[in-house]
Amino acid sequence: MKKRALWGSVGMLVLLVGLAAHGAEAPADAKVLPLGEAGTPWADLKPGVRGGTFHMASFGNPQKWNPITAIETGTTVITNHLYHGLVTLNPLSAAVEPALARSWEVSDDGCVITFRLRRDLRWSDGEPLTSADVVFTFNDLILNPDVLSTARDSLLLPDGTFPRVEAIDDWTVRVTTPMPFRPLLLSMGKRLLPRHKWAHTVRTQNPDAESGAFNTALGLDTAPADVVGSGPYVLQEFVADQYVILARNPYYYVYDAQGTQLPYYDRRVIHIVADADLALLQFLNRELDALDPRASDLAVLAARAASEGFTLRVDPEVPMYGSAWLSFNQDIGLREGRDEVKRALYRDAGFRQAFARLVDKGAMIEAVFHGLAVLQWSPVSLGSPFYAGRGGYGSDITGADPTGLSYDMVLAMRGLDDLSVVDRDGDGWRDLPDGSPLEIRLSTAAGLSEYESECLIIADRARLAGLDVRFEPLETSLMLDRLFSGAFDAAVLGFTGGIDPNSLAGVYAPCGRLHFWHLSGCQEPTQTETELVSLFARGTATLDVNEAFGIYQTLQSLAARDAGLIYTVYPAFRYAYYAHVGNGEMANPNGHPTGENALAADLVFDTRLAP
Amino acid sequence: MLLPPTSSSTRVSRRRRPARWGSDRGLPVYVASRVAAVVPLILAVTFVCFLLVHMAPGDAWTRLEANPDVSRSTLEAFRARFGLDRPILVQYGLWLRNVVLRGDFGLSFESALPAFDALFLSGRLAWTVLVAGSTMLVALAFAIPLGVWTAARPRGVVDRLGAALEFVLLSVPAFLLGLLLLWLLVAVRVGDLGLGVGGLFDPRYLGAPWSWEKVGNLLWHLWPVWAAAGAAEGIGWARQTRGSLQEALADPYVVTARSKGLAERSVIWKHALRNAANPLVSMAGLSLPRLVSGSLVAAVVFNLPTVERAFWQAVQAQDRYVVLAGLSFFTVFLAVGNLTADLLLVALDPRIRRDA
Repeated sequence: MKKRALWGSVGMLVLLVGLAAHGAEAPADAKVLPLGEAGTPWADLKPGVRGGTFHMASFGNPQKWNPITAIETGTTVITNHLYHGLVTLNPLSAAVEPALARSWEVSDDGCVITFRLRRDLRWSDGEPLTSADVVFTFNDLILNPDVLSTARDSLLLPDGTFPRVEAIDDWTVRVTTPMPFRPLLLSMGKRLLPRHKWAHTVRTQNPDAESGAFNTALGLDTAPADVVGSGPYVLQEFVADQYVILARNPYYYVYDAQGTQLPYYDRRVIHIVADADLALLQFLNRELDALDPRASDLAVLAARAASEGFTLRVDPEVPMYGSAWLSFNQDIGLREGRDEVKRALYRDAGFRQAFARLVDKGAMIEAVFHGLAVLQWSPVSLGSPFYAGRGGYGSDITGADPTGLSYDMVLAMRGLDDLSVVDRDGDGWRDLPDGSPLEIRLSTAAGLSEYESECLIIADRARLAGLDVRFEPLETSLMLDRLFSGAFDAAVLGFTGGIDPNSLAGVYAPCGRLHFWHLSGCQEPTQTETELVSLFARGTATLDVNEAFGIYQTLQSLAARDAGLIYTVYPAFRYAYYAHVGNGEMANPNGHPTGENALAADLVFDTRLAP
Repeated sequence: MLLPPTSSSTRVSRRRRPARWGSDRGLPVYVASRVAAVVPLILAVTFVCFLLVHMAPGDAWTRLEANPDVSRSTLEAFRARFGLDRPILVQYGLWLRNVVLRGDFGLSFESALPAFDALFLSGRLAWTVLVAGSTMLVALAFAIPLGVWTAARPRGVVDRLGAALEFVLLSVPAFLLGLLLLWLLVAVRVGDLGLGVGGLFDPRYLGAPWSWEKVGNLLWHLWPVWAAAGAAEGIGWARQTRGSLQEALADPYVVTARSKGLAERSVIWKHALRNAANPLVSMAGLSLPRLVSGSLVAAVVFNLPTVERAFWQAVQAQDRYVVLAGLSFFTVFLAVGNLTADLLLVALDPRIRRDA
């Protein structure tokens, strides 16, 4: 009874704070989004009204409430709503913009960034948010070897050191590096945690703390009141396998131009569903306000959109981060001391380029994605301003595939002939140059229907060219195990991507853990691999984005022609939402896949509540 | 009461009766020995599972290793804590020692929670008991009256329909029945919102305080689960009840009861059914594993928070310590279920009690 009374009081307090925030002037140092203001990225958005509950789906339980150790999207889709960092990405333009930091200055030599925090920032429990929290998050958590941080690698400088983060005063933070490191600004957007809640869990602050105690902090068994953040929402309730309820953070620092504190929705309910079929049924049953559909759902949704009153938005122009690829194991049989001829063939860029011409991307787009996918050739995500298909840094996508490796059966067969990969025994299948049979086992993770379909198309076209390609779907764990132990033949899979090409450095570095297609490159790198490492280092060392764009253009072209990873197609940005979700046409109400930030989700509102 | 020594139900019961019951050590010793027998069973099950998880290529650890966001120092910390670079027998020994000495079943690689907490999070155990228990009760509530009705009126319309229904429900897998019910829930519109699809409550009750309306909504969400997970068991029990009761009704003591002028309802429900119930209780005990697996299908299809689903997710992720904790739990659960069925037989049948 007492507990209920206590919660009632807390609820009343939250309500009062919320009412005070609604309709008043935005605080002096708040972040103000000029929704509807011409000449700004926000011009096409409407100011909304507060209230209501937004329902969305997520696949699988979150694993923790800890933004520092979170890995999977089922977790980050929620922690993104709970925590913010110094900077963030604009959900519409994908440009880096201020978040908890009001502004920043970069020194002339590019080695010092000084961040100035907004005044009067508060954590969701009412405690002040100061530079001490920033320093704690970076020095004691992210850069602490005892902490299972997922962000540390992104702060690793080319010389193997990390940036020095220090507080100048309560609202000023200085970040120093021994050399210019352009991705640093974006990396400083890592989400912050409150020092007053978690300092006792790390030895750097509390010598009596058990080693690694922070790694189990903010687990799913944490009381909601202890999950203190600075994002638009706070955790209200979690029931495993069922739902997560997020309630408005009364101390959130973002307002619209009318002085209304964001987010507009009072609550956000994330339904945890076991599979995408159930999510689709719940959306059609109006239990969800918005949905991120699979390609196979699009036909069902398109047919019912008009009659059911929802909109299906598919837009290849909206930034996307991710890639799908086909790869050959250039170390096949190396460990076992066999397959020398096949290995030599796979190591020949000419073979990989010939095979790249057998990848019928048009058929994939039509047959697998019903036309709603985009062609890829570069390792850099289409959403990145550094994508080489753009006219310049951040400008519109203009270019088609510049590598000349598009689908062409004649050129592909000619390339194979030139490599002496011809049918020598008259059985209808091409053989290896030494006359032994060439059999290619193409694998992907079973159950990922889009990849499976892509494999079938690849195998079909390759057979037409006389290559004996056999499709073998493998259980996901087995697939990953084979991939990263160098025990695969050929594989189709994909990566999630980031806005900065440097997120790919670990993929293309010969000793990187994701350089699975040529593990021996760590000992004996090829010339191309060495060049790519050099280009990645040069790309991060310049602060001039236009110069960096040129460097990354060269890098993308080189990586594509090397065809270590042969990029295929990527699904178009898509989501569905009901008509009552205001601003749904501009901002994905689910806050992803565009958003590494949750800002887009702040902007949607329930039009039924409008006066 | 007349107790004919050679009724068919008695034959079934005696066949099921373990040999030790007749010894002079008595029921408490028997129960203690059954409980003690669970320990080596758990050891055997967990050891075999540990080997299988180890032999299967790729697990949650592999994914951690493959994740570019997980630093090398993190991987080293995990390796040191769980002895992951040591021989399999040493790893199992470490795990067993922690279980026995500290009650520590290990850590979930996925959620970083203790393994048992990862299984039982958010009251999953209570929901599991509710789903499996209510499914069994509803199935019995459906099966016994139907069995009695058809036994009393053999070859009638209901009896023939029951036989046809048995054929259909035993043939249709639980997941397919579940999907058909889901389709029905989406296809049938009641008002603007339609009928709730999956989960425990409609969206408007999520986070709301308990009320009669919320309880009603919960029951509304459970009926498809009862139908999908319990239909096959229920119709099986109904047919078993019918057969056993028909045999009992042909026994001489029933003729005697009728000749003494007892009402037919009293003859059936008070005398014959009690004797015919033994095989039903045995069947219910043996059905527990099937109910658990049926609940898993229902939990996945209807999105329910049960321990089986958490276990299934751990198996999919090859989260080895959670899988081991789950296997230990289910071994105990099934052993307790079988023991409960045996004890119920004792409670229901004085002949068995006397023998014990």
